[in-house]
Amino acid sequence: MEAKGKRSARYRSSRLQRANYKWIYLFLLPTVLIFAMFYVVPIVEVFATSFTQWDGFNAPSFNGIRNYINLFTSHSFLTSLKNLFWWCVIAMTLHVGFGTLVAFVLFHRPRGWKLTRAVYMIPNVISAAAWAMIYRFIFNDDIGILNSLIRIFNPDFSVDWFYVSPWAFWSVTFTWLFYAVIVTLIVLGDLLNIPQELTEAAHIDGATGWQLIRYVHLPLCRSAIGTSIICSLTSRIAMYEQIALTTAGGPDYQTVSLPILLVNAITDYRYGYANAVGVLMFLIGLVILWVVNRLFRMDETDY
Amino acid sequence: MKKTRLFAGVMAGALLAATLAGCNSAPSSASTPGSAAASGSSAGVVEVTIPSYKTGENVGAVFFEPQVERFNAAYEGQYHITLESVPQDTFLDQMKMLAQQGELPVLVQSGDVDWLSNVVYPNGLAYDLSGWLDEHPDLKARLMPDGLAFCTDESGAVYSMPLATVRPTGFFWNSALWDTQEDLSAMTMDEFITAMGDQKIAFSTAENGWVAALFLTAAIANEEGGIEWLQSGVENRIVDFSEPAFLNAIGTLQQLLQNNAAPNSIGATYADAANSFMSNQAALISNGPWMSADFASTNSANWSNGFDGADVRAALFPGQVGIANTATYGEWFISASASPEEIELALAFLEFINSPEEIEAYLLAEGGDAPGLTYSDGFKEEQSKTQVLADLAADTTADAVFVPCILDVIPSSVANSDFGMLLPSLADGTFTPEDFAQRMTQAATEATAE
Repeated sequence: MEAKGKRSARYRSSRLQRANYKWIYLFLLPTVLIFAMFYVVPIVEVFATSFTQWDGFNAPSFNGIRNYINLFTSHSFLTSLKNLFWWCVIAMTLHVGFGTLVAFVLFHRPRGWKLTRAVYMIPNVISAAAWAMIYRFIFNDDIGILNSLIRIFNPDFSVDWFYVSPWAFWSVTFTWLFYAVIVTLIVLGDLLNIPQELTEAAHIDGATGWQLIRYVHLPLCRSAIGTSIICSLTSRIAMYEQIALTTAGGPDYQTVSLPILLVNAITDYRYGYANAVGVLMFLIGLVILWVVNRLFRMDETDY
Repeated sequence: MKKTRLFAGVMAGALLAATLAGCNSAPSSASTPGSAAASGSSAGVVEVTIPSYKTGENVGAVFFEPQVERFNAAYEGQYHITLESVPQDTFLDQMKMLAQQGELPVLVQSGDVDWLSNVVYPNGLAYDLSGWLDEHPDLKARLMPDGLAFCTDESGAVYSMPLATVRPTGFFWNSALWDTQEDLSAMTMDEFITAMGDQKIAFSTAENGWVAALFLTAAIANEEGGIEWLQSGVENRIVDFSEPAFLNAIGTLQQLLQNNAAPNSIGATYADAANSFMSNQAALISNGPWMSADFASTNSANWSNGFDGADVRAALFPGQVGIANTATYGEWFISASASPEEIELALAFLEFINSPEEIEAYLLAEGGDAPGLTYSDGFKEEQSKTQVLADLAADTTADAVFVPCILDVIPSSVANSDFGMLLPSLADGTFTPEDFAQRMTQAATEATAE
């Protein structure tokens, strides 16, 4: 009798849910429409036209995998992949590492931590394009602050940081390397959510400060660090302004990126080729998402 | 319960309606110039709105905006043009988008050669001017023959209004820093480099390396076979840079970059180069005659370090080479979808801006030459008052040689990106001329691969 009552309650609940479905679908409809129109349709179109020769106006003509063959035999494309790989390595280690380090420092709430957090946030409200222009002046050989400082000790010093190998790659990297406030905020959020009892228990067990970080706090920030890495790496894939406004990809393609190639292809009215670049950017993003998800076991909960 | 459902339904409907309203493609009068909403007639006046980048702070606005006002005054009560300001950087993209939507404005201001020849003209988006030109023989005679021939397709149609003026680009020098009395355009390139000694040139290598590209073009034109090689790129973009004339010219450019470049040249944008010249840090710069406006006393706020625009002189390049492409499309075409009244207005505008008075006014404002026009005495007198324009006019004789800029005869992405990207390695000696040429060939081949 009791079991029958429970089944009846479940049935009533299920009917109620079904009655609400139409409202759920109705309210979801605008979002689904927007998603379909502005995401699904363009993505499908990009995939489809990447197998065509298309000038962006006349009807595209199917050319199989010719665009992809051209891409993988292109010196600039292979160089851009190499650059992306190294930027990803730097982003995963130095960029996310620095942001995480700052988060751990702020977590201990040293004197002035709120002011530090606010000041650290400021670069994030300045656009990448503006930063690129600022860095052009910082790294300017003639009037840049960096070379002016170095010339105090070595008056004959002269390096065009953005235009000489191998410094150009590192100069472009510096335009984003230490602006890791997003990483800091994500990790700090996770740190602040760690139950106090866990920290106290570790203290009672005799854990030192480093052991507490190494064996308690860091593992519990796993998802936040994974999310930060995904954010950082996808930004590297889409990196355009910092390069276009400084080195434009030079010298000798040493700072060229996939978006630079994409824009160049559009300049030449090669929309099919440009969309092939777009497809590869999309796929690289998906692979990164999958790998980081697996590495950081982001679908597992800690509490 | 019923009220709650009704409320929820209304809210959901409103949300959906608001979402879809943003996707409505109905044109608005402000955003779709040339459309029925943007053009019309009031009390018999045909009015159109045309987008233009020669507005506001753009350097071309100084002449163009008053010219449109003069047109409106001349045709008061009949035609009226309103300009819609569009930033120059995004102008062509906006035109391409309007073309895709079938919403081109009545008058379209330029476009790159690839877009015009591959998209606009083959798809019947432009109005054929050939009949109208035949009805106006005086006007047709003022147009440059090379330009008219280039704009005339195999069927005899003329979609782009051919140019009546040519503005050959040479170079400017500051006589306060380099007080030479020699006829520089009559020299060979080697004699010129020797005469220049260690004078500094304000190069730009960033963006598309504009100033460097101009000196390179002049160097190519001074090599044997260089003129023909450059001109061959007008019809078919150049993708092979192993031509000896190019290799030698790159050697000359490397020499200039290493020995004569102003300190800030590597990585300099055009604005940096102009600033270098107008602050007495460089004695030479190359640019078109439109730069003469920068040397007028009204622009003295942009001068520094004792620079005086009155000291600036101008010349065509050695070998009497002027950089100008006469075989090219003109600045304007008329949309084929315009109404008969709008086309009448557009034709009246093209006739107006190509009238002798307007051509002379244009040449006085921005420099250049109109080979098909007999100048008035008043014009000659006025032109002689602007030193650099008078200098260029004196050099633009029948012996002058016009060549297209190297950036106009190579694939667009190579011109806009690869060329400037490779210049720093040429300047610091990492590349030999052969390396540079090989990289250019590789980039051009990739950019044109089908």
